[in-house]
Amino acid sequence: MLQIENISVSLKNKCILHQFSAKLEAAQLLAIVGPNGAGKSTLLRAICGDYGKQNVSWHGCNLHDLDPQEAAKQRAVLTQKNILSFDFTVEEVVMMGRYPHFNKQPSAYDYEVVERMMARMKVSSFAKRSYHSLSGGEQQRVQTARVFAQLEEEDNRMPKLLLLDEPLNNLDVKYQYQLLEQLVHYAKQGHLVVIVMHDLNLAAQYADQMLLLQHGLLKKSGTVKEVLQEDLLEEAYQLPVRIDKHPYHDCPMIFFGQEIKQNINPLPKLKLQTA
Amino acid sequence: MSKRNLLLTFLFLAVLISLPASLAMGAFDLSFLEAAQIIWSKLSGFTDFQDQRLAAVIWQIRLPRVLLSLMVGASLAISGAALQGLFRNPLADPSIIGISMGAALSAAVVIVLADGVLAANYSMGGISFLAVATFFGALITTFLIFRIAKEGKQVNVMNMLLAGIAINAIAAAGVGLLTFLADNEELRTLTFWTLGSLGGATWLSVGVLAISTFFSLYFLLPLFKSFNALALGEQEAAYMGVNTEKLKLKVIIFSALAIGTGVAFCGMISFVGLVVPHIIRLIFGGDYRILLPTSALGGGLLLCWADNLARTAVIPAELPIGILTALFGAPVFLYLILNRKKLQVK
Repeated sequence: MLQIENISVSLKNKCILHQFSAKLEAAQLLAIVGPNGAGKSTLLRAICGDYGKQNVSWHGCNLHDLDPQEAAKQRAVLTQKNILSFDFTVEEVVMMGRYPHFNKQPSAYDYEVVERMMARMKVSSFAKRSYHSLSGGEQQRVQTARVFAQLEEEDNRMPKLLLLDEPLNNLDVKYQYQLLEQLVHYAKQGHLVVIVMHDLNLAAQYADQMLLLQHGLLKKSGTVKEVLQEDLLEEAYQLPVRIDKHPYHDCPMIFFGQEIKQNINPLPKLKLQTA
Repeated sequence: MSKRNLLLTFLFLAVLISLPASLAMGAFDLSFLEAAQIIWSKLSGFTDFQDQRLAAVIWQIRLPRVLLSLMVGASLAISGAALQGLFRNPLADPSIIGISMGAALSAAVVIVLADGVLAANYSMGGISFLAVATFFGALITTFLIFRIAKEGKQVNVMNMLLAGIAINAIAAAGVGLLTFLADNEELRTLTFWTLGSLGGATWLSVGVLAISTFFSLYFLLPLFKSFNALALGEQEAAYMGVNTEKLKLKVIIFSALAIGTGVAFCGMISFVGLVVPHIIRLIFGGDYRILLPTSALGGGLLLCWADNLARTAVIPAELPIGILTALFGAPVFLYLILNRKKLQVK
């Protein structure tokens, strides 16, 4: 269980996150949503302990107190950055995820995990290629495979904490769905998956729990149906919102923007102004 | 055998062959076998080699010099690779972050302002005042840059790079001022110092270098995982269990030690720290597991052969080695850049 108590983060005298508290059970997928600058990434980083020791505990233990290498075996983070300052092969990048697990030489198990995670993220076919030669979406999948590889342990079935900051970046629709399916599957094995994401409809379809942030404050937390309310979203995003039922999934479907009633009120034609 | 072991074996053999080959070269000509024989007879205690004078030349002059070149080259190249990894910048090099120029300033102070003390000591047995001063010059500059870049408990790597550039400019101004003040003799010494020379090699300097090279290799080589992880970003490396603050401290201490001792005994030798890791990266990729040990061996080889040429090209005079490292390294580097697609080893 991830327990966050009363954490606040201020950067350069600006309050980014204000007195945030939450209790999150493992074995679920949690989506953090909210407009730009709401403090989503900051919350993720605060959970990781990037802003010094905070009141965050994972299974009753503050990850900040652990040796960095031990902490890395329990929680992995996919950030939004996927550039590499020097070139490596795809295989080598995924192997980096295994670094907390071996000292000098990767074990047979480490190689096996790398193979398995590359297969999971469908990057095995270009395992030997250079990372810099890949497209943005392919790079994103390689990074995700690396993060998955970091949390695999041969004999330890402790629940893990997986934090992902906009993992759907650069992915095409097919891979967006595939990744979310993988994450749901991973969560079902008893781990806690926390995703910062922007696509509310995908979040609605896959998340077990949601957090809606606005101006560094927790606006609403709860199940998908509790959080995705027309008035809450309208306030958070400053856009007209309509919520309907998804035609074939049991989840809400969100439509943003002004409704245009074509017959009654046709769009005014743009008039070109001449100077 | 893995790619790494194959490459390491090859480079190691190249170093082993270079040793007697370099000893054979020089004003006193002798064959490769004779050189190997002299080393063997010394090592085995079997000392009835006929020409004692030749044996002395080999043992007292050439061997320390060749060993020094191998160790200084290895130190400079591995520090270059480590600094590039730390700054996540392929252009980082001791001269970029100001360490070399800081050492040069202290050398210039000694050469121009304290030449009375120096004249009796330069390139003589024992450790000269100049060597001690440059060593501390390098160390003090590194410490200064480190202090400036420290924010609370953390070291900001970007600030360190920028502080290095500023310190570099200040030190260069100081060297410029001293150059202006220097008389002809001092000017000549100073100019040659900035081009580097292994001419002052003694068993004492070999001993000092052996200690510093050992420490830098011993502490930098096992950091390959941290350097690789750092390629993803500092934050990302921390999430993967790398203690980044400890890493920064280690890299700074041991590269300053390696560069400081190298500069103290041989003056400024540019380009080795920059170009050797680059050449290896262009052919074998960025993996620091390969890069760190091969840079050390490759740096040693480059400096050894540059020095062989430096001392034999214009006998009885000597070319400054800095000219040759650049002259050797740069065309190889350019060739690799132009042919990088074809050369990638998979």
